[in-house]
Amino acid sequence: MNAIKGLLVAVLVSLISVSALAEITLSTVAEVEKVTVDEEGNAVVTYVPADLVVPGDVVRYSITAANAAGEKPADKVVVTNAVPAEMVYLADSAQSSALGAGTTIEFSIDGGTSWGALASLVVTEADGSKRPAAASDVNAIRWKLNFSLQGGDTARVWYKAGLK
Amino acid sequence: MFVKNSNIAGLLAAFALTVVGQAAWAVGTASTTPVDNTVTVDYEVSSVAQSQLSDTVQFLVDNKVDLTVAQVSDDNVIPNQANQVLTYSVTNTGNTEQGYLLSVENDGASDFAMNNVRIYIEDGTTPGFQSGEDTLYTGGTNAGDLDPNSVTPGDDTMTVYVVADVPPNGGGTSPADTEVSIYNLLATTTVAGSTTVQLDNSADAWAAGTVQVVYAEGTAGTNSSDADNDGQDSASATYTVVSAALTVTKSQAVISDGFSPAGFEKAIPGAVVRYTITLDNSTGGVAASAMDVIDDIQEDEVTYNADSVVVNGEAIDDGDTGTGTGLDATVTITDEGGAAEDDRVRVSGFIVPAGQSWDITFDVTID
Repeated sequence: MNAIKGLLVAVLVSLISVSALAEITLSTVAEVEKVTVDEEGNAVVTYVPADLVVPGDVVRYSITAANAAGEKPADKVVVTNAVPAEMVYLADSAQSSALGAGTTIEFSIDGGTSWGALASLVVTEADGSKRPAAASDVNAIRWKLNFSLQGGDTARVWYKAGLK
Repeated sequence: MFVKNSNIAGLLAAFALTVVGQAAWAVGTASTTPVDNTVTVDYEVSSVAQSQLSDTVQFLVDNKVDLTVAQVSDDNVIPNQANQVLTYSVTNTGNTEQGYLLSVENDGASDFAMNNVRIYIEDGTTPGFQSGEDTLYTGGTNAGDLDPNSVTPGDDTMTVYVVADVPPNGGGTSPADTEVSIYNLLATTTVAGSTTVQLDNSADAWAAGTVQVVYAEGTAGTNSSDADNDGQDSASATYTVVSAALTVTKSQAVISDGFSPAGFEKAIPGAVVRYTITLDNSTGGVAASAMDVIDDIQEDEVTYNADSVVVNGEAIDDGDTGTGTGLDATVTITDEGGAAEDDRVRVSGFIVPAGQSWDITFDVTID
């Protein structure tokens, strides 16, 4: 019975998605942050493709979700990104190109089971003691778009992490 | 009981995980590690959930060549000492196992150069330098691979000794007290297991999916061959001479002539002359030991007064050895030829402590 139900749902979903024709495309770019000093002594931050990355380097991951022109609006778009185990999320670096009513950025310190603002998360240490979560505890980030991504629109979100 | 045991096991497991995690964090992600960033998108169209989309980007962690050469200990030395030891550490602070070439140079700011300069590698059996145990390094060879990714403590570091002889041992002139000889140990990163210098790829075009090499040790150390970010590092350690800075002066005074009032004695036959030999170690850094003072008197003109030797205030009879603290001086009076009478006063086998000045006096009578 359950199997039949599942099958029906799957068929339904595929039917609707074909008929709805919302065409989201997703792309991710990893870039290394390079800080140089200009002639006036000011730090200049540039981003180059993440070809040469060594421990201590900062990588910016830029994620672009685009809805193809002429397609139906995509609603409740949620971009979820697990922070690679080798990387440490850098505080306040998760951002969004705010469109419409904006984006809610949430964090998880348990691999995506529970989510919330970073300040609301609590880490339980091995000895049972609790402390507020730090940016370095974050192992997944999600961006919930509080608006519909119209056909032809692009939402770009990004975060930065340091290579351990 | 069972619950208790499993709790302990759980605790141990957590502890072990913590330790391993810290080690991995401390050394940096090993080169060649692929780092995948996976992003997913969920969305709905017309209130119907759509298939999740996923995208992954990957990069390979490159080889961060980073090393730290550090001074561990200096050495205070005395002229003519052999096998004096400076201690350094060489640590691989990068993210890849590497080998190392070692060399040492005498710093330009040194007052003197040591002789017979060698490099030894601690073999780990007994801490500290042992010439029969530690490994004599041959220039141009790989001193040993260091692996920062190893979970075994110490695999990422080695202790290096510079061992040398203080002049005039082996030639040269004796260095003066407080003079220094500075040695700059240089370590050059090589490909692990070889003597091939690990070059960086800063001048090469990037090729997808390859592990490239970046020099990242930062500011140059003290060695003249060391530059910023060149895969080399260096550090200085110093030999400082703390020899007994002994000066010897001899003075004489007529102490009685049998006629003149005190203070106006004349050097006439029959007058007694007191010789004072001053051994001044007041600026010395260490005691002057195994002292041997020989004074040959002119037997044709003067005659030694028996039992007249006084060492730092203690009278010591001829042929005797003193008993005061540090005053184990032996007084020997001999005839060294010429006229048949005693003509050599020798005071031997005592120590003048650092920071002190001692007088040795003896009397003669003018013939």
